[in-house]
Amino acid sequence: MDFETAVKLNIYETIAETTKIPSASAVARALDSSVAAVEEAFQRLGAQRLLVLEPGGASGIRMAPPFSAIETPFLVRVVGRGYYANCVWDAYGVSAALHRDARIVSSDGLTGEPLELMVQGGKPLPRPYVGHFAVPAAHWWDDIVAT
Amino acid sequence: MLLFRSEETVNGWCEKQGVPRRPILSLEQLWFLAVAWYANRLTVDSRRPAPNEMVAIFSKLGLEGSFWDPRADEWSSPPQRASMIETAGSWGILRIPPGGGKPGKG
Repeated sequence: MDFETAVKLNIYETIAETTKIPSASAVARALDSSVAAVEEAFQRLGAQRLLVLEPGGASGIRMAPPFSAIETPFLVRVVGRGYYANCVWDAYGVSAALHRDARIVSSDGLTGEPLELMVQGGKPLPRPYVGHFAVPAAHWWDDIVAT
Repeated sequence: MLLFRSEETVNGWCEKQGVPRRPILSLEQLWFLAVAWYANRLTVDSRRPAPNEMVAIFSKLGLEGSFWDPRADEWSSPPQRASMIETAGSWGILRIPPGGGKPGKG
């Protein structure tokens, strides 16, 4: 396994276990590597759009899709743990990535009314709710945080 | 992309934001996309779908046209309510051959 893949796996395994996206220094300690080498791997993974780094050249990770490093309106409860997702697509993505059923605590984008989604037996329970794609696919990465 | 109780609250949000209404997806469609994008994300060979693969995934849901094409220079298709034509299985995984495509927009 190459170093970049090891970094990627460490990031996602850490998230799965702790619900938190690790820092470059934490990944470096786990892999017995240098922070600089891990930061370079972060950059390469960002170029592949597997990570979204914090703006301004910082070494932190804002998104390891479908997971978010910050609190969002998409809290995904899985076996007693709570993960934040980047959007409603990613909220289901957390369940899909972990291969676990989930309860998603979210809200209506206009009214703020609490809305709950469920994944049971590997499938979403029917709800009349909908998702709205405001940005064309070609422009998602113009500002992926806003998307 | 945001979650809404109904198409009515989508319309209200678009009006409030001053933006046109664009495609609305059912939860079943969103689940299909979630499985296609993320079911193998914790594995060694995970990667994002390439642009041509994205188009194929969207097409399976009836999501076609330039709005859903990450390679499009511009888009002009009117907003549409896509219909669900296929439901993702439980933990189905999108199989992408190693080196089968480069990451791109989307």
